[in-house]
Amino acid sequence: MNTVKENKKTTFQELLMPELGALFRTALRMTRKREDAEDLVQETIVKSFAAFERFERGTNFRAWIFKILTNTFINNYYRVRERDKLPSLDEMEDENAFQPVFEGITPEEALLNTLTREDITQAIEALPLEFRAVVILTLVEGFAYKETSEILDIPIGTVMSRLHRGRKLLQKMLCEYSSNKKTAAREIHEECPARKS
Amino acid sequence: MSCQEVINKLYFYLDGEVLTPQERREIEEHLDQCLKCNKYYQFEEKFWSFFRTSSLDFPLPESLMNRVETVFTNL
Repeated sequence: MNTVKENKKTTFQELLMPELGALFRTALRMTRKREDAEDLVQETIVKSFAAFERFERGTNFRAWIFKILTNTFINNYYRVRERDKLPSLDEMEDENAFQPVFEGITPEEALLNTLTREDITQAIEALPLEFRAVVILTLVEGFAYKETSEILDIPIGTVMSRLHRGRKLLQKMLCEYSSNKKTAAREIHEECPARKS
Repeated sequence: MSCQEVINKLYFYLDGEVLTPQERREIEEHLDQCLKCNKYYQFEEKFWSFFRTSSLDFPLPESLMNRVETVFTNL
């Protein structure tokens, strides 16, 4: 038995396993297909194990492996045709883009009560990739802006602007889901805090 | 700090990013005094907290665990 290799495998496994759930969640939101997500996670594990000698012990393993996951996704899974399936950003950012309004608390509570986990997933998956990646890494997985900029290899200012626009798009979509689901709650749509009054 | 300035910086405040301790204090003082901004802040805080909680609630499929086991056996 090769002890050096076994030690490497054990150390790698110990670092990887606590992140597996987060890697799968992210892969699923990126690929939108369970089978592709499992392939992506598997490929990420193989690639990151092969590159594990280059990982500096004591640094941020989580950010390191997420960078491998997102790069693998962009290089191998993200096709130009995916863009064709999505509405353009101009279409998504219409005159109803989020503007703060200061209505009573009731419509806000109603909005949150109406939404489900499936609505959230659907809204994330409907975002264009550049917004989706930033939203997942910062708002779901809790990476700092700087870590997200390093994972995606984009300037921190770009992270901030994409995150801001991504949030507004999500709120707009979720308000629409909420109002579509409950015709009886018409006032929620009209007073939705994430729509311009 | 004006209402507009608070609104512009609110996401940074919620994310614990970018702002100086002084700016954070100024936002907190404003939120203590301004009912409109406070309501907006509470909505945003609840909304993104709900968003994150809903997104994290995701079980790992058994098929993935089986794949991972196989990968580790073959590494």
